[in-house]
Amino acid sequence: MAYYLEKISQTKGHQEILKQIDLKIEENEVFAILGPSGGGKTTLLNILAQIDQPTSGRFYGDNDAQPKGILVFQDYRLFPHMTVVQNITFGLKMRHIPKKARLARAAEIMKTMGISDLAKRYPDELSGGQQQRVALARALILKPKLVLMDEPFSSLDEGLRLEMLNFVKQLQQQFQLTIIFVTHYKNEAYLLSNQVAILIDGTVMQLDEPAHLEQAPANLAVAEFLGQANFIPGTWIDKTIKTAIYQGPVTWHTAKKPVTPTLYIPFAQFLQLTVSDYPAFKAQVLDHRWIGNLERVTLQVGTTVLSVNLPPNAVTTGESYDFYFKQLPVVY
Amino acid sequence: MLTKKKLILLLSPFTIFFCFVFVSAFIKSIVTSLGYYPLMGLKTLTFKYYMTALQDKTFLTTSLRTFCFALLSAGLACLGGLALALVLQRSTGPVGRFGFKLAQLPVMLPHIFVILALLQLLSQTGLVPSLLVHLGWLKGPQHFPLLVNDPLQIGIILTYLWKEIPFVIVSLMLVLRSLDRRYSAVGQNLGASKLQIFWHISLPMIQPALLNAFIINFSFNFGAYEVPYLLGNPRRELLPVYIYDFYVQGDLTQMPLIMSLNILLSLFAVLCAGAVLYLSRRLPGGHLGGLK
Amino acid sequence: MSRKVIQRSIIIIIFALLILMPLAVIVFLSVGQQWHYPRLFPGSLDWGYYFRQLTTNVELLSSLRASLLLAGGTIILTLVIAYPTAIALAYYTFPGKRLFSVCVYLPLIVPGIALLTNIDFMMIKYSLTGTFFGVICVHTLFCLPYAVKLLVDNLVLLKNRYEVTGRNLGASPWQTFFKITLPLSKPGLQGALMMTYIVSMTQYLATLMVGNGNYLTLSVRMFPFTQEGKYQIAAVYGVTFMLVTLVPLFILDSLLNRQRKRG
Repeated sequence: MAYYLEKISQTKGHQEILKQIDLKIEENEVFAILGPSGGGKTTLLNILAQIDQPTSGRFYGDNDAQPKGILVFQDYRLFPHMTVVQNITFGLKMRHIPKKARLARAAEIMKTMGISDLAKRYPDELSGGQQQRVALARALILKPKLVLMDEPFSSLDEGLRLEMLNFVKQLQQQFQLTIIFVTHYKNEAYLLSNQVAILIDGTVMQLDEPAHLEQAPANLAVAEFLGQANFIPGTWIDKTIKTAIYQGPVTWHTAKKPVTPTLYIPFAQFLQLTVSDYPAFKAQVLDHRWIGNLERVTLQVGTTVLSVNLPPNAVTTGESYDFYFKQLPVVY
Repeated sequence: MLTKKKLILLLSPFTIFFCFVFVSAFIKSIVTSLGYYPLMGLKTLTFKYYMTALQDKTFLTTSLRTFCFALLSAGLACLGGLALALVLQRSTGPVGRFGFKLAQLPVMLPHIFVILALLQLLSQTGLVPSLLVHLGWLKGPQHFPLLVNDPLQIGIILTYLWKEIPFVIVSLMLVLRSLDRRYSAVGQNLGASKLQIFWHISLPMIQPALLNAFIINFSFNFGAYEVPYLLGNPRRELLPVYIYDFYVQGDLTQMPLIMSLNILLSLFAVLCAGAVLYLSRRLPGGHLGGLK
Repeated sequence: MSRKVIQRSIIIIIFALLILMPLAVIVFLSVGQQWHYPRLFPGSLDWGYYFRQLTTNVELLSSLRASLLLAGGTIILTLVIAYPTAIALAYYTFPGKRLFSVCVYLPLIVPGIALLTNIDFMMIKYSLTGTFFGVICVHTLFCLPYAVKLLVDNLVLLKNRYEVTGRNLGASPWQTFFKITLPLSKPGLQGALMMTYIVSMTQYLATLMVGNGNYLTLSVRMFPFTQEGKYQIAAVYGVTFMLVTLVPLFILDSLLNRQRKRG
């Protein structure tokens, strides 16, 4: 069953938190909503979890007029006065499932989560990763079709984060879940999901696959949020742009030609040393740093300093090189 | 910087003060209650005063009456305070804020205020009987039920409720404001009804604060003198009045007996408080962890 | 939805009336003439009567002075004891900590009558009954639980991370205390001060018994007048009590709120 968000708006006081959100979420997919803090992500999740009512618009499924997502909170919100097993069986108890059946299902889900030996502990006696597994178990024991996750990995350590990410992916397959999760870490979104919606200032600015998102952000706000790029201000001279480092033809992805153009040069996949039809500039290498299988190179053109990712050992510090754009450069 | 020397320095003011005022008073009264009272020439240690106290019918019935009375009035205050705190918490507007401000008022005033007002309002020559007579609902003021100095201690209970319901409200509101809304959202999302959220989430979380307030109110009602003295019924005396009268008679030969009564009462009150605290730990909500 | 709001408002209004009624009765008692059975309203209201009492009644003024003196002494003694105790309870773990905090609360648990007769009995021996020091000691005993609780709550909230920062930046222990710890615990100290003032002002039996009748405070004097049926003069003392507690506390509280908003 697919889910639809139709023109969902939320106003609190005079502040518009969400503006006419339209989205379609397919069955059994992991759908990421990516955006900066304060962009309305948590408000949207609360609406999908039926904790809040939207000011206008509706949320429905193919054969469910009022679907309710089970929410895994960012701070987990395990009930501090209940043990792990009491937390996990809370939802079943509220549905008046007999105790025996509750415990049987709890045992099963705790085994899946690998937390069987924590049953009698209280939340303040658990680590962050354990708390998250309990919070997931508390949601999944209700056999929900739709699971909502608010910044699920943001409070975990780097190593644990990858482990939990893979674990959630595996759970999604195993339980045939539709997962909507919000995050402000783009890598989390890319690792979990093939469809990413960018939510900034209460508006879905772009809905795309991760690769395309990085290559062609819909507007300057998205490009700036995704980061990992140089933004060089410039002026128009007819149809070419004039900036401190580059003068020549450009293209744009926005509907209208930008009034005050900003040249957009992402670190990755945009500049190369190989000759192409689009010469860029001559630049001196100030520094290069190892960042995994690439190098982050700091360049200087005149007084402007910019960064770019290049293959290892392509350049030497202090030398100058001619750079080329892979394709026609983009302005916003 | 958190050194042992500094800790001793920090703890000593209270320790010295407490030993001087509290501990020494109790040591003296324990010693006296055991029959060592040189002023009266008593120097042999004995349990006979405790035996006398525990066989004294008046003392025992007065104690039982006072215990039941204190339990009832503290319980009513907690129930009333809980209900009103929930109403106030749900009223987020100016009316709710006004109500919370008002709840702090009785905490600041002495009991004698309510006593005075109750006497003017509810005694048989008070304003309420007058009003009822004026309205023709009552033939004469003597038909108005006895509400002060009455055998059921209604006047005293009303006084305590006026002071203690607001005290419970103030204690609970602080906890309710910080805890409840976040966790009730979780409960709602997991499918709990409003009643279930109250019973399984809110109530366990405020239970420790509620029982703490109960202990303070119970102990006060059990041991306070001024209200029962002015509003109590002389034939159904309450314990504080009984002991005070006994003490101020000034019969020094009775001191060991009075002190043994005091020690028994103190032990009893501490045991009651301990039992309530133990109960509070064992009930849902007894383990609140570090999560606040 | 709106019906529930109305229901709640009605409950709160009834609650407010019940809280305010005794206070209104006392105010009218203090200025009303001949308010006896079967009159529903005072014969006449004489607002000047209260103020004439306030300026000419020597007993009233001496009561007021006794109340304020005792409250002042109690505040100083309480804060001197409560503040270090609260710092220890908030920042240190030590063996016997639970027992220690139980001791702080013990005066609220032990029945007042037993505690007071015991203390009075002990103080007679040390000739402390009837002395200023004796009375403020007993008041302090009842103020400490509240003062310590308010201070600990405030200190726990701050943790002692700012002190650590201060020391790390090179401040001496005393500098750290005066420049960091003390200013940060201002809200807690103010709360403790207000609560101590209230608890001291409202004490009855402690003041009467240990004070041996030497300190006839406002709440002590209201007692015999009420007992003898002299409601009007009792109410005059009551109104004076409200003037010196509710009014300054209300002003202080709103000043603090404004400061907090600005901060």
